[in-house]
Amino acid sequence: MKFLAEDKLQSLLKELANAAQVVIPARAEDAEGMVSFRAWEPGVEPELDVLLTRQSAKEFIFKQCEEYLTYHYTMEGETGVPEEEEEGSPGEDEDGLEEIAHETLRVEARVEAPPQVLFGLRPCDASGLVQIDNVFSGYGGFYFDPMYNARREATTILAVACAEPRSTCFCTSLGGSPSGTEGVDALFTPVEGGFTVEALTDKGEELVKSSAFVDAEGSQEEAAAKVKEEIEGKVDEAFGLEGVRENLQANFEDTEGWDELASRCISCGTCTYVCPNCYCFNITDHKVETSGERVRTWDNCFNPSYTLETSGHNPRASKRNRFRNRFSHKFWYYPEKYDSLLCSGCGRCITHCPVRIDLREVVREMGSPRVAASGEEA
Amino acid sequence: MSERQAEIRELAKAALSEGRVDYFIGWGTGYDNSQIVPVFVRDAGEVDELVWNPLAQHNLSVYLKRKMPESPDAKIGVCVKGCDSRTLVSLLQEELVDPEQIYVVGVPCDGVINRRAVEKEFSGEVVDILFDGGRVTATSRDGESKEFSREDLLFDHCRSCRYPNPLYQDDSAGDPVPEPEGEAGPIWESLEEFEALSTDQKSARLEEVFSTCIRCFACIHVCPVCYCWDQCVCRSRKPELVSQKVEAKENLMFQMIHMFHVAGRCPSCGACDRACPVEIPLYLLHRKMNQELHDMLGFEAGVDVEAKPALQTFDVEDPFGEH
Repeated sequence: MKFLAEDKLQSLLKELANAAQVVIPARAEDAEGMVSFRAWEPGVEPELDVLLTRQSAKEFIFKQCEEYLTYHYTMEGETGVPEEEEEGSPGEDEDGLEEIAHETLRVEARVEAPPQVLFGLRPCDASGLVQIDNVFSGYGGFYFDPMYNARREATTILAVACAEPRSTCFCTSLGGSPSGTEGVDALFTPVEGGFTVEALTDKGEELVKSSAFVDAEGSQEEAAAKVKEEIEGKVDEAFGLEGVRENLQANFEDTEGWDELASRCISCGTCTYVCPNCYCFNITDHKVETSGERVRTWDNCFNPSYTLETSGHNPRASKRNRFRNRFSHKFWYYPEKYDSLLCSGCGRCITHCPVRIDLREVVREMGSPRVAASGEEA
Repeated sequence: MSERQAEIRELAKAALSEGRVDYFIGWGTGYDNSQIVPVFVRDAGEVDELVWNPLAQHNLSVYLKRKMPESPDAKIGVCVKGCDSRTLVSLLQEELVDPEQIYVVGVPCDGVINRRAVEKEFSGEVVDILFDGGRVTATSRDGESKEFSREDLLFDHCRSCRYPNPLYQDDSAGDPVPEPEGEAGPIWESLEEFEALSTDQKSARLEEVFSTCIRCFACIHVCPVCYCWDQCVCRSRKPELVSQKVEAKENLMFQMIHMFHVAGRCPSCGACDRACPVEIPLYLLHRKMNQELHDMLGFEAGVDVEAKPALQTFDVEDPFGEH
């Protein structure tokens, strides 16, 4: 185990920035003072007192909007007749029809993956990326996305264990931990005077070779162990996981129950965009004349066109069904396919929801047998 | 305040037990005592869930723009503050809400407070907010308490509020609060800073602000007078008037469309602003539009049920040519 003194943090970030883009949680300078991930510049202090940034760091690996190919059409077999002449002699239109131009399409893939270091993620954010990896990295023989994986490969993740969990944190209910190591290359644990640092992967081992680190003393290792134990105990138990998947399935058609939970939902997409796990996306072409680009953007299950079919039919036409999908995806469909949960318990969806829809309440209600509730209604 | 809360509960209880409404929408406590959320009460026995305090920021008329899917003919009880009543008036002007289907409880309001501003005074999480007259005491999860003056925490639009008493209601929860004195005229001072910029500076400022938009569409979904829902032109892919690309210019384009579409119907209630997860000051856009409508046409949105929204009528006397 290594130790990084607090006053060595800036020099470490500077050293890392020589070879990669370094991203840290920082407070905006404007009046709003929002804390979000952004590129480090000399002098910018990471904001680690605030537990969670507004959005997770997924944006730096799974971009909200990225151009992933460009295309260009060229015409062959041109007549060589200038357009003005053609226009000037409309009677000769038929001549033009004999010449059928062949179109050639040139497509260029874009893979941009400069090296980057993400510092200051919480373990829940890092764990979220592992769930997104499943989707894009060929899990079980499914799709392998070159663009995503190139960026993932070029990224080093330095997580900082949580100091003071929020009441909306529930990682421990999902098998996670405020000092969890899933998806983390090196874990920093705040102790007196700095951080103890554990290298967990080859990338992590590479990092701790820096002269900014020294070997941790026995007392510092003990202090770190104590910090971890203490914070773990501070995270509230939100719900038990047993039977949640089965009960969600059993309660799928409990429209009354879903309506009741969804009644105050305004059906926006905030919860999905602040979520470190949500990965749904949309693809659009933007063509101007003969050239264009294909763009991948985040999408969300509350978007009316999310499941809209070309026939005009939308299997999730109502708010209730869109709402139901978000929770069922996280605790039923995704676990069925990837054998893990699509939620790491950061609680951002709860704290940033304009009407404070509480995921914990939804899972407690719809992840349990509903016999009592329907008896009450009757 | 507690008197108004008791009134709300009484009125809701009567309406539910007499069968005048199928459900009643008010404010209630969220996952902790520092959070107020919209609540839907379906049973007269549950009216104690209803709460009134200066955290009751949500404009509940948003739930009238489209009915609950399971009960399109339901009769709905709803609480409105002064500003909320103006968006309700806008909906009534366009006959988008049937007055026979709603029961409106007006709540006289002394202004609601900005919870985010409270949270920013702490490094930890605020879990409790208590009110005592003009004083606000907030407590964080690690036990730190701070005291504020309610006046200091009010939203900007509450400070310049001209309609603290609802303009449309069936019953009132408590006695009206004193109307602001002096010349009735909207107060636009929060726009002055922006107005003073050059055109280039304005563009740069708008681009900077809208580069942070994440297109979650919370602003339009929470807007009571933005009712196109699934048919919103900003989300249409065919034709694609706003690109799916998430970038400052496209984000601004989307907001401009929203601003123009709700012009004459939006009273700057601030719901969009409060819902924005990245804190874009959206209400300034709508205030600007309202200022223009006021200065050009002497029009104010949502004050008279019989009036027509400004951009839906034409009068040869309209002074467009002079401005």
